[in-house]
Amino acid sequence: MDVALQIVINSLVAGSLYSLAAAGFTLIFGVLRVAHFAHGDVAMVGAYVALAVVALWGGQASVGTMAVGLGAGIVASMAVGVLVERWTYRPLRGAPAMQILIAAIAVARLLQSILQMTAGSSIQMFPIAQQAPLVIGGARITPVQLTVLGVSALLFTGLYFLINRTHLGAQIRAVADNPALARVQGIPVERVTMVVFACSSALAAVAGVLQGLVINIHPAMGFVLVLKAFAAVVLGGLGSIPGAIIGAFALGLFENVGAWYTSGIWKEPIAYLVLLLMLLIKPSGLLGRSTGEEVKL
Amino acid sequence: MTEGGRPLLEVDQVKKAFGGLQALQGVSFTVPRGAIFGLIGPNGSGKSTLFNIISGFYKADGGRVLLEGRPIHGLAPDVVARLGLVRTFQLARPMKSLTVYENLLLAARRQPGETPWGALFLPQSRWTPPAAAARAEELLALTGLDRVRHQSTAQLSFGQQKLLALAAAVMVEPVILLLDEPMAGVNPTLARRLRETILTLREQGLTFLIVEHDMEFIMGISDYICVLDHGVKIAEGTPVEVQQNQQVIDAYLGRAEIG
Amino acid sequence: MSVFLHFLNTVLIFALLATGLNLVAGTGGMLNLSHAALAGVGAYTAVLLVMKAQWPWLAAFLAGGLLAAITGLVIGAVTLRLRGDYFALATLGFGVVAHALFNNWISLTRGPMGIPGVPAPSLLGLTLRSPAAQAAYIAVVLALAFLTARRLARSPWGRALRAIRDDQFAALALGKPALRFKVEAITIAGFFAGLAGAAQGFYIRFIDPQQFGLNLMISILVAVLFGGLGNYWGSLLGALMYVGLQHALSYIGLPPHLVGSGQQAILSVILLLLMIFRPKGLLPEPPLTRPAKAGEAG
Repeated sequence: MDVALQIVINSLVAGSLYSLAAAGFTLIFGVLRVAHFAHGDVAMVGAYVALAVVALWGGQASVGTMAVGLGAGIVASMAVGVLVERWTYRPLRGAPAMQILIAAIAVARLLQSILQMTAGSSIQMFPIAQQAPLVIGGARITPVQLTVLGVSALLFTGLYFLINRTHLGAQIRAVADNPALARVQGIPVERVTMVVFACSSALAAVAGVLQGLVINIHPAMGFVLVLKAFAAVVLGGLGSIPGAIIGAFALGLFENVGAWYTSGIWKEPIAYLVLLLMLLIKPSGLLGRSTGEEVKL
Repeated sequence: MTEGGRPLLEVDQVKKAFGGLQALQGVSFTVPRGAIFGLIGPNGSGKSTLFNIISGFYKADGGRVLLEGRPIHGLAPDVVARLGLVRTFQLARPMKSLTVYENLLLAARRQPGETPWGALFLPQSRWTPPAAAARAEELLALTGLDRVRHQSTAQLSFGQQKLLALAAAVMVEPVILLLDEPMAGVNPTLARRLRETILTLREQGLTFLIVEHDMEFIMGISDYICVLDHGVKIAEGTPVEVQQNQQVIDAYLGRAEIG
Repeated sequence: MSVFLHFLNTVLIFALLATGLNLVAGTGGMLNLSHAALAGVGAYTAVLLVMKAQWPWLAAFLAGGLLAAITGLVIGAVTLRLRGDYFALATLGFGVVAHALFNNWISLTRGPMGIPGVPAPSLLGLTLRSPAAQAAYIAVVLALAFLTARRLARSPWGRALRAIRDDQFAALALGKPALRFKVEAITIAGFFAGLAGAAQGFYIRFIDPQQFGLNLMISILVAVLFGGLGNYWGSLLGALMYVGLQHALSYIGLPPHLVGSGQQAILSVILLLLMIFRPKGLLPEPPLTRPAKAGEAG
């Protein structure tokens, strides 16, 4: 029973990280119809900037320095995200999907290599105090892991309100639904797109920093993270934020259950296997509406 | 309706819905061999949907389509084409990286050069069967595209593209040709050429099912007409009969023609 | 001289990889992101057959190509019904899964430690140990691949593949079985990828999963896109550019640990600029037949 509970806890933590990334990814996909493969690397930029800021104080990081670091990381990610939109996706608006896909991958690799050149290739973590885990029903969870769950829950609530209860959210939904129509209705599509990128990148930064807290970070992880986000999104239904979140938690569950059964060896490719299977069996995801692919003309 | 023997194409109670919208509510008609059969109806009547179902690009929700007695509903579009039912598209769709002549040869059947083995191990002279090259020549002459045979299809006028599409479709050796609004957007000279080509091909034994909005053209060329409105067949018969049908007049012909 | 020979061998192997990918992505219009993994399949197959099963080198070499081809066939058959960008992602997924297999099937592949001590190729009783000898046989393989790809691209088969690339629905309407052509293209390309991977293994005398991952995949892609989709001279050019860049960066004195990421950064920028300004690459795809005869219009 404790094993099951531990798996659940690990899945929730992993799922929270993935869902932060997946939610941002879906926001961008909804508005631009673009798979933003640099998203994970944007997250890593935020994480590394946070790390650098925290290192300014030296020694162990306190809640205060972490908060400052996080703030810096969020700003950095937002800047990078907006630049990517401006210089990559905007010039390619209307281009064939493959061209955009390759460009997105190129940007992702560019960010990754810049990180590697400036921050090095070693695995890093935030220098926080050793955590004494709380024991709940035979399973363990550290305060930091609890923080991850709490922060994610908070952010999703905020995201929900933003999308569904604000004027900006209405504009975002309009653009996601039909950009041409939204433009005709007077909605500043370019500005809304920029805001969406900024918000998504902020979420990504949080995901990156949280990952640096509970696991570790490494420049190559950006691509891994975005592929997992993509797997979550495909699993939950392309274009649906709740679907992306559910998909992310499901992915976390699959990973941890799979890791337990195979003693960790096959944990890494599970996300890709899930992605592969979903693409082959039901590309519209578990929750998504049919993409209309059967209507071929 | 049938002139001795089995009709060439039978459409039997075909149904199709998109989400909540019922596009076709059980449409049936038959096309006799050697006929020119017109399919008309206002926009949204389900003509294109029906076309796509017959040619294998959509799957029907119910009903059957029989070609020479053989069920073809549910088969892939390329299979349907090879069985003898070939369609054109409203927007011509030429292959941009090919010339006119290459576009015709592309459509030829049973080319030894179209397998990797044949491409690699047969000499270039054996890649295309002489009969195919000869047929291409005939069609180039028939459509008047002879003069532009080495031009890239991207450089053709819209009407020329439609002539090319028709010729390419014929290269596939069909028994029936489905033409999707062949006259749309074509200037009068080329329209006349298209009309003549269709009639010549019919003399050569081809059957036609044509969707059109150009009333003068379709009433003038068809042996039979079927009228659709909101996914339902509201009339069927010779052009004269259909033009005198009150329901058709109310639904379609009476109103100003919507493009 | 040995620097030059090393440069040459690397270019030849890379050009072989690029030629195969060009057939699939250029002429065929399919972004098969498992191409590098197929090279890995070829490498592991050939090396293991020689070292563990004592197969004669040539047979093992060809078997590497064959197994990679079959893998490509299976991947293609399964993923080709997906829309273009989903197809790319699915093949990316396959590539990652293959990488995981190489890494984790330790009993067979020794996982991340790789397989050292790969023997030199031996052909007709001669051991091709020197770089010059290796360059010779790889050049022959490359020449064959180049001629094969070009002939295929110019043939009715290639014409059908291009048509399917340009407008699959129109090609289907003309009775062309699109899936069959595409699977054939991936299979043939897979064969050359496998040979290239094997050649690399026998040249470096060491193989590990890292060699055949996403890094290689993107590099080959950049080379093909740079040279020109559908232009096979372009793939040679792209290979030259890629390897040249690699050598240039070490030459100008960049510290070794920065060379890899520096190269990656520059290649990414090149790729991005290509996508924005010249998505089809530098050299255009050659037409199928000779241009208009004298006296014809256009």
